[in-house]
Amino acid sequence: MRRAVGDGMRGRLLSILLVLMGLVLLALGVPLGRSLADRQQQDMFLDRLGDTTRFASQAGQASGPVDLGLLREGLVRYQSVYGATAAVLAPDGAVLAVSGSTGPLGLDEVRQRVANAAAGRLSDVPGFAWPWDHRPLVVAEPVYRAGDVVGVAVTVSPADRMRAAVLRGWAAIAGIALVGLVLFVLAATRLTAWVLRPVRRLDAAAHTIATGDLDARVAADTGPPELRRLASAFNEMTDALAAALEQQRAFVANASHQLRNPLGALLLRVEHAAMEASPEVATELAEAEEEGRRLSRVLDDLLAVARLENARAEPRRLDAVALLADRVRNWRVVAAKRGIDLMLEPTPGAWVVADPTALGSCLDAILDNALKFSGEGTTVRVTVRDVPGADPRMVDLAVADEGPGLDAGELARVGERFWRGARDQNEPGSGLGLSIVRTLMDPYGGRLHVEPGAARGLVVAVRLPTDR
Amino acid sequence: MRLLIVEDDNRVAAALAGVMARHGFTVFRAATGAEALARLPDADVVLLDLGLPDTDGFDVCRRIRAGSDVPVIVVTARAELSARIHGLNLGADDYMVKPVNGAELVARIHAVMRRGRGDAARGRDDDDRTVVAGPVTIDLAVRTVHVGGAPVVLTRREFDLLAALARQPGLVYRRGQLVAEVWGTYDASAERTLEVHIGSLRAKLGDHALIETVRGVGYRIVADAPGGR
Repeated sequence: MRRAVGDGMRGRLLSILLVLMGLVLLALGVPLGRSLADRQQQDMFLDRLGDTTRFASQAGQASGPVDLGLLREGLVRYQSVYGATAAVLAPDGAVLAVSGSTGPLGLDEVRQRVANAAAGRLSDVPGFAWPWDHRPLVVAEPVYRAGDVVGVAVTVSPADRMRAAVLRGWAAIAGIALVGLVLFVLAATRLTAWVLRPVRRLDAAAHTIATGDLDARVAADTGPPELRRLASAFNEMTDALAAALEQQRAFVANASHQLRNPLGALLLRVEHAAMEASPEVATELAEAEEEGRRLSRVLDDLLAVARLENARAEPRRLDAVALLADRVRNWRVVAAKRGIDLMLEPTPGAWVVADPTALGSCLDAILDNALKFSGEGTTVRVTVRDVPGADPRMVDLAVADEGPGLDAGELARVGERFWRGARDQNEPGSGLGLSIVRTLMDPYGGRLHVEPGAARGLVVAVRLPTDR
Repeated sequence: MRLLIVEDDNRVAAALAGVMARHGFTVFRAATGAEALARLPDADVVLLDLGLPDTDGFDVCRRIRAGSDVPVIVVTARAELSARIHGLNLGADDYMVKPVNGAELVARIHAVMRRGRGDAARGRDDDDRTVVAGPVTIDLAVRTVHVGGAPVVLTRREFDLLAALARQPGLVYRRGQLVAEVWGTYDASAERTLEVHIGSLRAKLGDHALIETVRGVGYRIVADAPGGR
């Protein structure tokens, strides 16, 4: 089966919308996450900066061992409450007072910041750190006494809790974005369905029309206004097409109908003249009348084609072998009269899907042709066969004759309306027979297939969908 | 025999009238349905076209049949099966699609007339008629012929031939038709036989003007007064 046009198009539309939405979410979420992390870090830094500054000023006022002891007690309390190592160092890095272990003070960053503070520089805000970065937050402030830097107060705070908070914030942002995305996908799905519904209908209608049913129309009441306009334009186009075809058909029917009157009068005049005329002239006039009859048969065939194109085919499941046997029985009379052996070759049964009347007419036209071009004493073989090297769902109802056959250029033209082989111009017939076959078989996937016979002659087949 | 041609196309009507007159029919024509119905009482047989300017030909056919049993042959350009069936259902006796051949049309008229006579014969003993033409009296029932009151002896074939011609005096019988009726066959040599029989009939009847040769068509008897219908 053919895939509906809407599916692929809908997928593409959805992915474009999704990529756009993803980019929008990234553009909003990344700066938001970044600023969240920055603010958390800044808050903590300011907090620790305040503490460190306090320690620095206490250290600056301390003037003896007692004060130094008090300072240490303060530092110890601080560590017990905040879990951060706090210390006061001499400018050269020697420890004057520490809250606990001096281990954290050995870190490179601590040394660097202490050196900065000893040089009298104030702490600067630390750079951005990823949540999975486990480095502690280090704040070092110079201790002034009488305008001179006499030491450095430093706090080394583990930043894990702050960073966990940042991670939670990021998770929240991602969660909100995800919910937004899901809602967006739902909305986009419905939107594309709404947009594409008319397209789908147009596609279905166009396909129906292509198979010959000009009654197909598209409902122009849903979808975006542009597509509604397209749908109604499509309907108008189909109307125009149907009207044009109908006009053409009516013209052919009408023309062949209107030609009958003058042709009829002409033939009667010729007949009348033949009665009055001498035997020689009468023979000539009888020939002229016969030409008129030929013309009349062409008109009949034209009318038949016009009517066929108008008729609706009603495909049914048919026994191909029984149908062929029936046609062969009927045509055997004609064949016998011309000394031709018409035979149905034994074949396995096959079911085909076709309109019984149309298929019967087709076989008649093909058999008529085969018998017409076959010489006396030849054989015309009728058979059901698989399509060689082609679709297993098709089967050929084939008629093989031993007549003169056709050359390659002629083979390509068989079945064109009014076309007749160059050697056949004097055979009775209008050249419409196989074109009628083509017209008849067209609506339900039947094809006219012509190939040269095995030794000589021609094989003409109706290729039909089978239903084994 | 009076033939009414109902046909709106002048040229077709004229051509048809020419051929039919040649076959001995007295032809008159109606161009519309109304005219056809008005002239119907004068007609022995009607040729009806379905495409008429004022009314549908089928309707004319139905209305003819409503008031008359005159034979109606539809002669039309409409070839569809449905039209043929409809025409016959409405009471047409035959249906021919244009372009028609004059000889075939005449044969069909005769066929239709034969059927009509068959019906009539049951009530009217039509073949018991006596046809009088000049000095010749033909008694179809007892198969005798008198010329000026004196009996003439004819062979069986000669009498059959004379009887066939006498059935519709004035009407031209085609050679083929006579051969078929009298000898029951048709081939080219039979026409010679027909000519021989016509010759001997003329000799026995002693009146060469009785059986008239219509060149290119056939023969007819010119009767004094219609013996039958």
